[in-house]
Amino acid sequence: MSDSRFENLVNTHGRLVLNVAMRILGDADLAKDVHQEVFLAVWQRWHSYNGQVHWNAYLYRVAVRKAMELTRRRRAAPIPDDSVEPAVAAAEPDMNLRVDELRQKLTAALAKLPERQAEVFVLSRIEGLDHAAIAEILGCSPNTVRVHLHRAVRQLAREMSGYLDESNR
Amino acid sequence: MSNHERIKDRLVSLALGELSEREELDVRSHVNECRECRTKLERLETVLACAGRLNELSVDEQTCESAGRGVLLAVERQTTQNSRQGHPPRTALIWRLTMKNPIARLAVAAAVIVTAVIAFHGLGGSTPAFADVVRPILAARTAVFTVITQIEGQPAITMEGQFMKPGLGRHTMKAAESETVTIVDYVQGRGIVLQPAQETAMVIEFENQPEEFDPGTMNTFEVLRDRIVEAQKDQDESVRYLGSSQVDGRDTVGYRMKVEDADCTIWADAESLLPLQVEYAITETIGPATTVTMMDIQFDVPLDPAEFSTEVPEGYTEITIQADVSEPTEVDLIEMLSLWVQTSGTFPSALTLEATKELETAVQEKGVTFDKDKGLADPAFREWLQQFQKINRSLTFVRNLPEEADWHYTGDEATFGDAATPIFWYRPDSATTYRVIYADLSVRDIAPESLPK
Repeated sequence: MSDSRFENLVNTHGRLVLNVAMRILGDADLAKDVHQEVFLAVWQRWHSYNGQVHWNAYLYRVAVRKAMELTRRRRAAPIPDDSVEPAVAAAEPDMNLRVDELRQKLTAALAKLPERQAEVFVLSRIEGLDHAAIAEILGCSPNTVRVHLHRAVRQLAREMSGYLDESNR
Repeated sequence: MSNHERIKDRLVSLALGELSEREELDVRSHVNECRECRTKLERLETVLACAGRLNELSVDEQTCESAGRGVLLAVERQTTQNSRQGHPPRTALIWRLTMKNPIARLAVAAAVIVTAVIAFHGLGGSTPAFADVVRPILAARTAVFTVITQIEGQPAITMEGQFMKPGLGRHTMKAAESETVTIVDYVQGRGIVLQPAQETAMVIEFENQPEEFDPGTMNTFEVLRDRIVEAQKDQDESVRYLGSSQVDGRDTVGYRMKVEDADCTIWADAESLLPLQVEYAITETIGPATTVTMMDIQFDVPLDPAEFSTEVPEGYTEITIQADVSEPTEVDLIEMLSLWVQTSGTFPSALTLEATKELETAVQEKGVTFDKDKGLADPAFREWLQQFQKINRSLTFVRNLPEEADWHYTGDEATFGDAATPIFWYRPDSATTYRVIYADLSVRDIAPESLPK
């Protein structure tokens, strides 16, 4: 059986992992898959961790990577229409584009980005973290974060331009 | 740069709210007048608004609790299973490699990386799904494995290695009388080659590392993993189920993929579906036919980060060289051709790694020999390494040219200095004319109809 510290980690940080995965994948069941994959990977290395692990940062990083990996693996398969919380789509009814559809387009475009750009974009624009926090999570400088973010935003807009222009007509 | 171009470059900064009030006014006044910039800004703002809204998504308490229970149950199941089967034996965390020269070593490195070119296609029916077989590769944070490389006409080479995210790699290569340890830290942009017998350390500092460079992608194991992810996008590749077989006394199931001019086979444990062996048979691509076998693969084993230190050990003689890691260009090819001609008096017979043997022979004919006792401290050897960098960069430039570039090399029959004889030509991306390198190493842009037949 797992030890109590691991159990405590799952209880205190499980929601963070689930929410990150949910926001990327838009599906609670898939988010649970990512959650399980993340914590099983942690458990497999449990005895090699020293007491210095910054769990918040570590789990953010692993959760984003696992969720993006799953997104890439699923790219060929269409995402079911009922997989998104309707509350979000209804939050601002005057928005021209349906948010759930946009989310699908956005995650599909994210899956095409280089891994690091996608991670920075998710942590910055979806999770709302500042450059310094992201730099700590990803082990790079805040300036590198900024560069990746610019490239990601530019590439996403380019990737989605056809869809966005069509929707705006 | 025109005002429009200048503003266009600032649209992302505007959308991200990074501009000062004055800068924002400046950009917005142009955007109001310019339809193209306005459209671009709208797209950027829509993407960012959509991303911001995703933050509102969250799981409910019930999902959270059931996910937590699921993890603890899975851990319990895994713990029970491990105690029943015993933990797998730990592979020695050392690479062994019998190497004749640095060229062979680089050839092996290239071959191992090529191993990563794996196609992916999910299989149905009652056979174990290929997705389950490659999943550990996709998910792993660390890996240890042994690689045996058989290059046609040469003795087999055995290596053992370890990789750790992000971008850390360590290989130990054992020849009959010496050992070479190579450690690469792509995050720091630095590598080190240690020769314990000679107590020499060659530090390699990367120069011109591109801004967008992602260290995570430079680890051989990472490359393997990323290629699988990439291959998942391609539904045209076929994967053949080979059925069950015994590998090293263990029951396994196998899959084979045809990738361009190579066959890749993965053998996985029949029960756990953990990949045990990856075999890659490369036909003549960058040199002679090569078979690479990755075996004793273990994923997510605890590794000591200290094993990946690129610091020079105490008492070692340090030599530092710079390695240009920018994208190779036509200039690299011209420099290589110039170097080749100066050394051997002729152009290479072909633009392949195999052809570098000709240059090596020419160097030896000039009386240059490598002092094995000095190893890395031998200036002649270091000079050769620098030259090999040029060769490697130029070959990479040629290899990276897409099929549409329609490149040709005819230098094997040319005489250096002949300004009328083309020796290499290719069409750059989107260009209507070809870039032609002549035997005097001048370069001109030539229309397709004026090319040699």
